[in-house]
Amino acid sequence: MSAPINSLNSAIQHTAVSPEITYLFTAILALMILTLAFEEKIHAKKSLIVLVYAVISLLLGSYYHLLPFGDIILPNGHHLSIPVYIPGIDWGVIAIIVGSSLFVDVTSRSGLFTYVAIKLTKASKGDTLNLLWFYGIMTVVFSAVLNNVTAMIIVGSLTGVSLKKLGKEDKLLGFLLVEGLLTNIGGLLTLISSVPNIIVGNAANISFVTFFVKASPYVFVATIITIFMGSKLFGIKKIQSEEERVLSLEKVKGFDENDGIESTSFFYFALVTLILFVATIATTSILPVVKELGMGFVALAFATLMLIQYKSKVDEFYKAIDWDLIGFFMALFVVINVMEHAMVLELIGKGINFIIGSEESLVGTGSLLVSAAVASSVTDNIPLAAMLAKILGASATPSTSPLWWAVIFGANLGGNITPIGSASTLVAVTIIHKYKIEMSFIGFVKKALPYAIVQISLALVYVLFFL
Amino acid sequence: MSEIDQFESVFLSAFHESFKYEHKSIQSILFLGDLGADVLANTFEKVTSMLQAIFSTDHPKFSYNQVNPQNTTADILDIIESQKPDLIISYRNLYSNAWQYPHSLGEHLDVLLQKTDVPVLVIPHPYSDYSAQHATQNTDKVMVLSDHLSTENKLTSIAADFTQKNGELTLFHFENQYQFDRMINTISCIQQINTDVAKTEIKKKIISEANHYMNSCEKLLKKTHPGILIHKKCIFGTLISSINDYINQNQIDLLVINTKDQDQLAMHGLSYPLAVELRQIPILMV
Repeated sequence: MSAPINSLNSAIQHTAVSPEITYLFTAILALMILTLAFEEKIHAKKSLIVLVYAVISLLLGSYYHLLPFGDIILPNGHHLSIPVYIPGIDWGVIAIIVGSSLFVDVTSRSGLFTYVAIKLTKASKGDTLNLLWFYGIMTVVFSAVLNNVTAMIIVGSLTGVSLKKLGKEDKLLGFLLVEGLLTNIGGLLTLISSVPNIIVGNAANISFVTFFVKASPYVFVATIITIFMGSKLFGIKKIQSEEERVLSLEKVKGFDENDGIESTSFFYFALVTLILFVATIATTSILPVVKELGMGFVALAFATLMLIQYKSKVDEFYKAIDWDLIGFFMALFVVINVMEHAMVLELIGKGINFIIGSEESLVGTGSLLVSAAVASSVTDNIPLAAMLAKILGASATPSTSPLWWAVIFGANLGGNITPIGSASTLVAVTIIHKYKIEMSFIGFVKKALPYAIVQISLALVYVLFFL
Repeated sequence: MSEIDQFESVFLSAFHESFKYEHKSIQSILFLGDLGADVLANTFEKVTSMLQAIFSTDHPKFSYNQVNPQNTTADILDIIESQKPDLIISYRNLYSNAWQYPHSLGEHLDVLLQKTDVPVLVIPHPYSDYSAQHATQNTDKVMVLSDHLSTENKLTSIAADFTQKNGELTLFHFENQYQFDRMINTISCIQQINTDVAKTEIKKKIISEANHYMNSCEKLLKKTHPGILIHKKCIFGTLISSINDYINQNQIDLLVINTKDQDQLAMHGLSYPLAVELRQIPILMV
């Protein structure tokens, strides 16, 4: 903990830019983050919001001669003419997201995830408390293997259907809230579980296995505490009467886990491929040949393998990709790249230096975690993670530094404070509203805050004393 | 497959209603008629004989009431209230010659069917010549019919109870082709919905749901009513002719239909035209 780190602001080297220009671009960045926070209010998709700011940033960057126009020289001496906004995009991250999305989407068609979800529902025997534990653990595992949003959609929609069939609609709010919060816990489990993990993990050069080994103890404890709190705060108890137990058992027996499986051979193929996918992603950093190509390649290669099953209608899956998210990332990387040239990141680095101090300390790391969590709670955690990763990376922060983990934990857990803090909690709220349950912004904060405080406090202790 | 609605559909589709047998004990049967004593006694005997096989162990108390022309609908309801029967047997168009025409059940029966929870067995009019030859002989061929069979535990149970030992019970799910086509025509005007997909998938889903339920019926009824042969039928057709053809071709002895929908004062939409027009065999209206 006491190893000195490079001063963040001194690590980012640039040609001189006047403070006025830096302040102007800082204001643009602040405005963009503010606009993103009001994404729902202004009824605009985040990709468009960031694209608008990317266009403005590029125009101003060009006007003030901040951008490094010219050819890119490859290691073999070849000159490559690429538009200035292209190299700023982290194509490794984009490849992971596109590849994983496609892979998960095609795998879903096999009925694998719904099979697991229904099997667990039946294993609960319709007991409400068992269901909460099973769905909670399933949310964490799905969030870790898939992505938080898909996990929330699968578990949330099953929760709605099964609780309705069991006549337990009054417990829906408790279930969905706990599941929403658990997506962000599960999102901490692996390097590919959430976008902040991918961005920060890549920047810090943390391997998949290292990430899992370091994050899993926290995820395990936080999951148990969150589900336990959920059962107590929402009065979710075991079924008491024998009559109700028999009735609930009868009801869950009505689910057929094989219903969504169109082809048994494709089901098993998807299962084996999923295991191989996770194993390959986990060992990418040590696999010969593959390690040079990276995780993005692995994700795209496995997506391609799965798409062969639907070779005549792959276009359906291309349409299903979240192009809003991809557009958002690409535009965001462009904005951050311009901000880097305008010395905005150096300025923010100074601010972070002020928070964490010039040397690593408990207070500094803890402050970074809490600040990241608070910032993530009101705006998208992806720009924050991307910005902080860039700043920490530029300061040559060692991959073993707890500062990276402070950003990872803060960016993920901040999403549990407000409904707009993460995409998966927003999905949870959407499902809550779909079932005509009243849940305002403040209402969510009131319900979620006790969990968030416990989770962030636990993360503080874990990052400061165990990582 | 990344939308909430899509996954919700997957899970909803994976849930199937299963048949639960709901036995209703029949201890007393009331026969209501407006004809002369001899005709009534004769008809009463015929019906008693028809039902003998299915009540061979229960031995319910049969009684009949000769209502007179002065009786109002309210009087008939009072008789039922005082006798509290578990089954009412009657025929269409009491105190009216309209029984000769397949256009109504008559005001008394209309109200009776809706005002009481007691199942009503409507037999062909004693004077009619349209009664099928096999009608009112026995109940070895019973058919239960609904347009949402998978929610009809009570209906299916009573149909099974009315099927005599070693008889045949047809579980019949009917979808009105005309209504289905009209819905698809509406869908074809909505650009967000693919018409071909909707047409194929809706039809497939309806058939699959009905089959799931009918399979669960067969499974359970084999235990509760051993010896009964179950036939399963799910068709898209025209309301009267498709059903009428099936009844005539298979010499069905008793048709069991639902007359009540929740929050509905008039008779169930599918049942009324059937009850009015299918006059050749007894109809048990639940």
